[in-house]
This record gives sequence, C-alpha cells and structure tokens, in this order.
Amino acid sequence: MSLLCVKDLHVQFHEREQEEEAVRRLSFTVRPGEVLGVVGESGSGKSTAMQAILGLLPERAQVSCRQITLDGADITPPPPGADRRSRRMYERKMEGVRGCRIGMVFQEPLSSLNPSVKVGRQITETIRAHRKCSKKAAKERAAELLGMVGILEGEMRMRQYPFELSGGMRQRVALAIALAGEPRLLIADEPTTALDVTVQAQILDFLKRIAEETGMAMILVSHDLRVIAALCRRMLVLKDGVLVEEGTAEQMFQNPKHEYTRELVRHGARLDEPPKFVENVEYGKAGDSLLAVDAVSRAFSRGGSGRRIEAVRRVSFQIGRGETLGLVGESGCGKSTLASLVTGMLSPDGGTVQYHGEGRVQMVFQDPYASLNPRMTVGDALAEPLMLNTDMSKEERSQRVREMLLMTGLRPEDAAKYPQAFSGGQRQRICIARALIAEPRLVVCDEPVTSLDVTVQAQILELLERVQRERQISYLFISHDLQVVRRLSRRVGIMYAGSIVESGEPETVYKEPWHPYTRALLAAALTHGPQRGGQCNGSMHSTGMYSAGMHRIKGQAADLPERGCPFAPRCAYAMERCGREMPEMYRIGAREVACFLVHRKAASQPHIGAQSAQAPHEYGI
Amino acid sequence: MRRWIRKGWAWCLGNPLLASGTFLFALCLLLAVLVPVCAPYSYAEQNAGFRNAGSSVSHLFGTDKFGRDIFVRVWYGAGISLLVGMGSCLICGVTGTLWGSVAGYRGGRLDMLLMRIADVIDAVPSLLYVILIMLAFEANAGSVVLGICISGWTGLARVVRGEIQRLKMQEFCTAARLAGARTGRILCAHLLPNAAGPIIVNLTFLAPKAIFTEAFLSFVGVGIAAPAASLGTLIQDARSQMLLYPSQMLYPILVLCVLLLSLHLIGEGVERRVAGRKKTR
Repeated sequence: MSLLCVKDLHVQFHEREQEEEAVRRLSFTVRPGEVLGVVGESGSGKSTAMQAILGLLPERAQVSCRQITLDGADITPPPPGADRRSRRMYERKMEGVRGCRIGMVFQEPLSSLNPSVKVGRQITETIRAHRKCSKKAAKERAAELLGMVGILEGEMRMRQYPFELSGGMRQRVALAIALAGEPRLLIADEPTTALDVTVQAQILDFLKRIAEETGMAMILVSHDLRVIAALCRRMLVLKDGVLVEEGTAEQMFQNPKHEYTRELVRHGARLDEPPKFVENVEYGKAGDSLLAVDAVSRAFSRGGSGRRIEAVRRVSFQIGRGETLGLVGESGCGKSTLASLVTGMLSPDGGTVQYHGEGRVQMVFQDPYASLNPRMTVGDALAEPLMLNTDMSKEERSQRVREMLLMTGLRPEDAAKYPQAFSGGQRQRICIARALIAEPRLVVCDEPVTSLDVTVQAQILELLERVQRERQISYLFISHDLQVVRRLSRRVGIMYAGSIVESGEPETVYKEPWHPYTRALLAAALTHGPQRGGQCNGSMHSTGMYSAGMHRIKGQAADLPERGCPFAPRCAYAMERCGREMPEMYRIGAREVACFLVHRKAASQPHIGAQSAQAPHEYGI
Repeated sequence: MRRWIRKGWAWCLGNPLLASGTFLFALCLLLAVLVPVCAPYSYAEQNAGFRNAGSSVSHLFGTDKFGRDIFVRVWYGAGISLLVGMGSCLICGVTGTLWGSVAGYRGGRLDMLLMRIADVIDAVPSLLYVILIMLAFEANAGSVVLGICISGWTGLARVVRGEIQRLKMQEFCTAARLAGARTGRILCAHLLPNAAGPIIVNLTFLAPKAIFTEAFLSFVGVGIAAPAASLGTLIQDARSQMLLYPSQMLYPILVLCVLLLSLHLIGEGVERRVAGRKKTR
C-alpha cells in the first residue's frame, strides 16, 4: 500500500505560443514512512512536478495526469479543458490537503513566511486551522514544535518576526509550520540549498530524526546528490522532465544504469578526489610572493546604530606565483570583504595588501547572471579591459576576444550575442574570459561554481585548472564548499568571523583538523556516496576519534562575543581563557592554527591534552 | 545607425499600443510642421469679410471671429504644444538623469543633499512656478518650458537614483571597475543603458503632462499671448461663441485629445515593453 501514488504526470508551459514540456509522463510512488530523494539539475522539472502534485502551479501551466492518490484518496488535478466547477472543487479539496496531509518546505524560507506576522502566530494559526483547540493549547503545541525542530527559547522566538531570525532559524520555523498539521507526507524542495554547511548538516540530521520518530514519509528534492545520499534510501533521477532512473541509493552510486546518472555520480565523485598537480610545472618558488596580505582589517558601521562590525580582522596570508590559496568559510565570515580588499575595491582600515604583479587583480564572481552587463554584447564586455588599458586597434581587440572565447570553450561567433543567450555555465566561462583577457597574474574567484549544477561545476573547475597550467596565474579561491576548494588549492585557509582560524595544506588539514571549527566544518560536510550505517556522517577520512556527532556544532555565527575567541560560544572545548583573550596564530610546521588547544601542543608538552577534561583527545602530529 | 532604426521600427510594430500611438503622433507632428508652412494663409492673417465661416474647401475647419483660418491655427497651436512638450521633455530628461545618477552613484551625504534639494523644489506646486515665470518674463513657449522644467525633473531624478543605486551593486559594475573603467564610463556604458527603460517610460509620460499644463494655462489666460496661439488659447477664444459656433471649439479640443492620446499610447506601450522584457529575462 503506497502513501502517494502518481501516474503519468505531464506538465506543459505555454508562453507566447511556445509550448514547453516541463515534466513528461512521470510516475512514482511513496511508501508510508519512506524518505524518497528526487535529484536533478536546474530545469529538470523536479520542483515543477512537486508543485503540480500540490496544485500550486500557475494558470499557464497545463497539468494532465492519469491519477494521483494520497492515502487512497483521489487528488488528481482536473484535465486542462475542465470546467470551472470541477476546478473549484479541486481547489477546495487541495486546501484541505496542503499543509494538513502534505506539509511543504521550500528553498527560500523568507518567502514562505509572512514577514509582518510574528513567528508564534504563524505557527499557532496553522495548528488551529487543522484541529480545534484553544489558543493556549495551540501556543503550547507551537512551543513544543519549535523545541522539536531544535529552536531553544521557543517562547522568546515566537514573539519575533521572521526577519529577526537567521536563515537556518527561518528554515526551522518553516519546518515547524509544515509539521504543525501533522502531515503524513512532507515535501521538502531544496530545503538546505540556501543554508551554510554546518546549518545544512543540522537540518538534515533533524529531518532524518523526524522521519524516524514520527513515521512521516518525505520527498526530498535537491540538485545535490550528497544531500540526497545523506538521507534517502530510494531515489529518482530526473533529466529534462523525464524520469531516467529509479532505485536505491546504493544501486545508484555503485551501479548506475543510465548514462546521465553515471555522469552525475562521476562528477560528484571527482570533486572528492584529491587534486592532481602536474609535476613538471613549477608552482611558485619560495619567496616568490605575488600577493602579501599583512594583518588586514576592515570594519563596517551597521545602519545608524553606530556600532562597527569587524568584517575582517587581522588577516594575513601570502600567495606565490602560479599558486592557489583556497579560503573556506560560511556566509558572513568576511570572505567577500576580503576579496574586495585584495582587488582594491575596498581599502583596509589597518594592515597592508601588497601586490607585486603587473596589471590589476581580476575577479570571477558568484552570480553569473549579475556579473555580465545585459546591455552589452559578449564581445564588447570582453574587449572593455583591452580598450581601457591597452592601445590595441579594434581588429587586434576582436582577435584577442576570439582567442579568449576559444580558450574558454566557447565559439568565436558568440562575441556578437548578448549574455541572455547563454546558460549559467557558459556565462561563467565568459566571466573567466573577461577576467583573463588583460593577462592578470592573480585572479580572485569568489564562489565561482556555487550557483552552478554539479556537472557544470566540474567543467568550470577543469577550465580554471587548465588556465592555471597554461598561463601560470595564481588564484585566491573562495568558497563555502570544502570539496571544491580542496580540488584546486595548494593551501587552504579556514575563515571564521573575519579571521583565518586555521591554514595549511589541504591534505593535512582535511585529514587532521586541529581547530574545533575546522573539525565541525568537516564533520558537517556531506560525502559523496550512499549513507553507511544510517549515520549522516560527513568527515571524509573519519576515524574513530572524530565521530560526526561529536563535532556537530550548535547554533550559528550570529552573535559574536565582545572579547576573546569568536568561536568560543559555539566551541565544545572552550576554556575560561577563550572567553578572555583572542588566541594568536600558532605556527606548527607548515600549518597555522589560532586556538589555545594547539598552543599547548606547540609548547611541546605532548600529553597535556589527556589531563584536561575539555580537550578529550590527543593531537597526533 | 541603420541597424538601430530597423531595430526601433521592429520594436514599435511589435506592440499594437505603441504602433498606433507612434502612427498618431507622427501624423500630428507632420501636420504641425507642414500645415503652417504650406498653407496659403498665415496663422495671424485676418480676413474681415470672412468671419465665423463653416467648413469649406478653402477653409477646412472654417474661420474664427476675426476671419482667421482655424485649420492653420489649430496645427500651428499643435506645433507650439509639441514644442513645449518636447522641449520640457528634453530639459527635464537631461537634468533629471544627471541629478539622479550623481546622487545614486555617489551616495552618502551628496545624495542626501541633492535629494533634499529636489524635495524642496517639489514641495511648491509646479503651476505656481509656471505662472510666476510667465508673469516675470514674456508670455511665450520658452517661458512655459522654463516654468515646467523648474520642478518637472524631480520625479525622473528619483527614478534614476533608485535604478542607479540598484544597478551599482551588481557585479558587472565591480567587474567594470576592475577592468579600469572610470565613473563616467561606468555611468554611461554600464548603468544608464540598463536604466533606460524606466527613464524612457518616465519621459513619455512627462511630455503629455507638459502639453496639458501649457494648454490649461493658455485656457485660463496666463499662457501664450496673442497673436501667437496654442491649443489652449484657441479653446479659450472659441469659448465666447461656444453656443453659436461649437465647431470652433471642437477642432482644437479634438487635436489636443489626439495629441495627448498618442503620447499616452506611446508611454503605455513603452512601459509594457520594458516590463515584458524584464519578465522574460
């Protein structure tokens, strides 16, 4: 007996006489208590299918379906030509289903919460809409729900507005609302895509627990195979609206049948591989520094209150010629501010940035849709740096533009087109071409693949690697994704709250993280592959010492302490001293760590860790 | 250049509102330019023996109480209206765009100062400016344009400021700065072309407003002085014998309506085009 059964779902969009098939003949079932994963790239129709099931699609979408049943009840949408009466009947029926028997969580929690209504009321209203109870009882239930989704001080949070909460907090509230109707099925559409890695891990853990405890079935939709793998036993793979493969997660990873699934798995796995550095190329000699950043700080004043927020605090690093430094950190840790400081877009409050290369530092941005002027042809956009900085003739410039387009894997004819004609990945290629055309020595890549699909990510990373080999340029590679950074970088720096807390070679840092934050970050990162032993376990080379649960940190980097180590409030190993003073960078071999725990180690007292209850393990160097 | 014209043409024809508006406007413009030049009578030529005549082959719209040809006078008046409309459009457009882009791009204190000045200018009713200017200077089309332009640009300045503020945060702007572009180039090549839609929409609605203001002032009697005539003065002149010769009032009103309608159609069409493009992007 299946909980949800969908037969031959077909969705078509009509726009300006063009018909577009978003979903084609999709059939699947969800069993009670099962967690089903739906994976696919953007435009594969995965969200559209879910919205069609819920009856949430706009008028211009034509939904036809042989049958949809939920728990035996028929919830098939009326055929496209149906009269108004049957439409209204369907609408009324779905109002009873949505939120009550099927709960929903979407990617952007801010848009699914009413911004002008307090969180508490939004939950109690949902509760009271689904069952008759007093206001007081609803309030108690709401507090209980908030506790369930991991929000402490539920009473206080209920009096807040959505904008007062952080992204992860909002997603939890959205989940609480979805659970308020005690649904049999929860549809979670990219629930963690907009969230930080550590928060993502918390939410996924929680979803898993809820599914186990309440016996609720769940459909988890994501573009990220790792997210699906962490939670789901069975999964569907969608491509261009067609279901190309269906099976258990183990099958998919070990023995994918369809070409597309194979490609998805392979591209994901490639991100997990350690980098391959070509041996005959010289990657920067010692002392051959291209960029030297020394104790750079930058603060911003927050709107009117006069309080200054330090976005970057005393950050130092060096990048040699032809070398890549990877910077990892979660949103709001000051990565982008640091990028602006390096490119000279911002000037530091303190410290120095010294760039020894010729020309300007160039940049590749995160959002390929905002980083190209929609009113300029690709050719003009690429030629702009040449026009402004060199005295090349028009012919020479267009010759260079053609070369660059070829080099980045585009066609020379593309120069005459406008950015709208390109996909996200192609746009990112154009951005790379633009950054490289003036032959800079250093390129800052600020989350260059974050907004791209997995297969496209791999292509763009390959392009960046190839360019580096051919042209001997250096990268400052910024990302929140540990795997992506590891793929490209010779050195990584982990950033937290404006400062680098740990840096070193990726192999050693990833294998043996020393700073508690690095450890938490690694524990939160999802591995590529099916779940083993039911644990949503992320640490890549997990040994018995670092079990995932132990390093799962709580809370978020919202309120920083006035003094002391910024990580101390979330740190499981925080000592009294951490609250008092800021740890300095301790250098041990090729690594640098800003933590008092390591300071002890650095003071060459090999067994001191065993004496302290707060540092329950040793560091093996 | 030819490519642009062809593109603009295709752009107009793609939208029925825009196409009909453009057609009507072109017709008005053509007649307003050609009729006063080609007609056998001048707009001020009186003919005592041929007063208040009805329509005929020699006087298409008939003559007024001084025997002047109404057809010529109506199109001469329409020409004045167009001049006022286009003139104020141009001046307000340039001022508003410059003001708004400087305020939006620079931000901070300068932005605050510039926008508060605009607020102060905007606080006084715009008709008052026009009337004061008309009283202080000669009562001609130039004064009307000047009066309208004193406060007419503030709305556009606000629109431009908002657009520039939004656009300057986009990454392509940072990329242009990294490429070595200076403020002038960033504004002209990157920001303003992307803000063009709202600017054009605002301007197309500014023109009919200016034409209407001029017609109203002339009707009340503080507008363009005789012997020059605008549509407003023609309507006012015909008012005294409205019951005897209603056609004398009808023709200028009709032309004024067609003129305003064509401009509104263009404005509406452009607005939909701009909004439609944004949606499909």
